[in-house]
Amino acid sequence: MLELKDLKASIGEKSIIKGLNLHIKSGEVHAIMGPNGSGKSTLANVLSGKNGYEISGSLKFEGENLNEIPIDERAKKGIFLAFQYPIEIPGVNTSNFLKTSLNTIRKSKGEKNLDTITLLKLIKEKASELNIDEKFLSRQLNVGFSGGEKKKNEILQMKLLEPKLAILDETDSGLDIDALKIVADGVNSYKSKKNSFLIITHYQRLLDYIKPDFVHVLSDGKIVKTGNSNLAQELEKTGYKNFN
Amino acid sequence: MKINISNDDFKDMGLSVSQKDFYNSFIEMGFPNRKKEDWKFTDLDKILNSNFEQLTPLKKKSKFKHEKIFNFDHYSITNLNGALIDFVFPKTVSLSQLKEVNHLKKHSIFFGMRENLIPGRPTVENASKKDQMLSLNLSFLDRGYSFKIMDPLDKPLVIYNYYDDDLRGKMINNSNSIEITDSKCTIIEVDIDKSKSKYFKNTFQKYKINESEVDYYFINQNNSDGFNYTKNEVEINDLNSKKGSIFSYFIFGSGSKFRKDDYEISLNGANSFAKINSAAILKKGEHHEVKTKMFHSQPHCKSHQKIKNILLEDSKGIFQGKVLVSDKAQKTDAYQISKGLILDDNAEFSTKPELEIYADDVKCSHGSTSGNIDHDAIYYLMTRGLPKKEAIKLIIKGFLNDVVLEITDLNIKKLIEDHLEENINNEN
Ligand SMILES: Nc1ncnc2c1ncn2[C@@H]1O[C@H](COP(=O)(O)OP(=O)(O)OP(=O)(O)O)[C@@H](O)[C@H]1O
Ligand SMILES: [Mg+2]
Repeated sequence: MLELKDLKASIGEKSIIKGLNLHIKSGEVHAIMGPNGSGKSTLANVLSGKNGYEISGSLKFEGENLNEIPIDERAKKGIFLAFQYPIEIPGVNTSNFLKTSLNTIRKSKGEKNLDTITLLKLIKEKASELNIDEKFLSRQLNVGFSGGEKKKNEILQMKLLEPKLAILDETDSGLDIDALKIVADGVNSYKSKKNSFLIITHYQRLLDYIKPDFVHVLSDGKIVKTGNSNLAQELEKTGYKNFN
Repeated sequence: MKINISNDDFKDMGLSVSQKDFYNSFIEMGFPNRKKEDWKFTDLDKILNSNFEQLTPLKKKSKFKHEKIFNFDHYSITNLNGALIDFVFPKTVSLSQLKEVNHLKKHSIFFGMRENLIPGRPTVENASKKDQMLSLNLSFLDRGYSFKIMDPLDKPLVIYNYYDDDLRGKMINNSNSIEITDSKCTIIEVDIDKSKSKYFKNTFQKYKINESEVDYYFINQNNSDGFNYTKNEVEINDLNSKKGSIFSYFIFGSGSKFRKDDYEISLNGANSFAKINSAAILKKGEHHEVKTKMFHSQPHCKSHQKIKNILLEDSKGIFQGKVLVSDKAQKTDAYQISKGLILDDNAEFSTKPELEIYADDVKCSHGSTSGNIDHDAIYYLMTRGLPKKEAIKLIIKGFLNDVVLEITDLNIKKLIEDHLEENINNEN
């Protein structure tokens, strides 16, 4: 599904991703762990198409070269990024935003536009699965949401948009124990043979709930080790000192 | 630039001074420039000079077949080039065309003749001698309307302001007066102006609100090359009521080459409430100023002002807002906020909030911010499938939304949403 070869990304003089190879197949769950500043969010941003990076190497999604494809088109192709720090957008009503986004994505998949009532029903249904109070839907997008509420709102969007590849950037940080469980359930219930996950996390805890097929250690812009879920447990004990 | 006049442009107004006298004092002063505090950000002299070779007072009062453009049930007043041409009114409203000398005398000469509200300030003795725009207005004033509403209105009143398509180089001076007593009503004033040629309009409008609840919407419906200056004087008088009047004024002014909407609002009775809400999307070459002076002369009054501007291309948005609180006006609650969202390096948003307070037990605040659009917000929305243009549109609408949310009437809300939508889409 996703194939990165010798991917490099830099901003101005600063090079951040320094030759990264990664192959994610349909149905797989990959976890990326790594010290602060190692380039995890940058990788996620680059995959989503964020502007401002100088990029080299190959970046293929379902066999297609992504390099020239803008952010919104990538979203339509099925790439979803749950932000480490979701953005507050004043004045934009959350459920209106969700409706607009959902219909845009649906349209690109050739599915028919849903009317407001059906959309709202769907949104409420998914929200309640995540234990998100309906009141949030009428609030301004992410404005004044607590850290955990923002993260849940990201997962709500994931469940609505049904992406092929979901990149979760530290979605577990800031979630309380119950919320973590709910979010993990949300991910697990969406997981299938057809879609894949790239989960960026600092903690093994999330990986206890969502079992990864592969765990990669990212250090200084490169994957320095790949293993199975045992690697996460090992890291929990030893930290990253062996990789510096 | 010269003003192109003949002797019969001046009429006898039946006053001790003639229109010619007003004109002479205007000529002495000239158009206001940036040296005048009130025109600090809008150098009218310069702006007019660079856009007009000459200005000729518009004489003809044409008639035309007009259509009502709003499909909800309403009363109406229809003007063409500032002159009244038609009205549909309930019997409880008295309306007179402002053309006789008597009316002129009654309604216009009082403009600017405000009584002394703030201690220590000189009494305005002869406003027209100090106010260029007023003296210009009185020099050529030949059109306008005046009406009184003495009961609640069961339907909104729409004031349609139509304009000829070609008013090239013309100057319109008009004056209107609105008095509302013991009423609850909604008034929508809409400029339907598609003029692709430059003209200049100088309007003086007076409002008297007595023990009433009034929602007033000004909407600029089209894009035009018109230059508009409007001076609004609002008196909110609650002489014997505990409840107090509520005057809620909305300005949706985007679409004209030049607008300066100038408000002087006096809260003359206890417990009155004045609200000003403005939302504008300014595009190529637009210059739009909202200027307010809010006089709190009585205790327990409130004034809330919210100004929101989106600035595209080389547009210029301005807010000058002054709040004056007299020593009698204890328990005043005055709030003012202006925000600009700038989408182009060549666009500008200038604000000048001012507080002048002589009472000690008051709650007054003001704030103003301006900044560029949040690129992370565009990015975020695009990761959810929205094309860049749509993402920006959503952010713009969100920015203006707290003004739109103040509108309770659903028909009007729809009008405003359409107005804003049209102005966003016009951006290239
Ligand atoms: N716009 C930028 N300009 C300059 N340096 C940047 C920029 N964005 C990221 N960096 C730098 O690139 C490095 C990687 O940042 P990134 O956010 O990808 O780290 P991370 O692995 O996600 O860290 P964390 O675990 O703290 O979230 C950091 O040193 C960061 O300071
Ligand atoms: Mg990060």
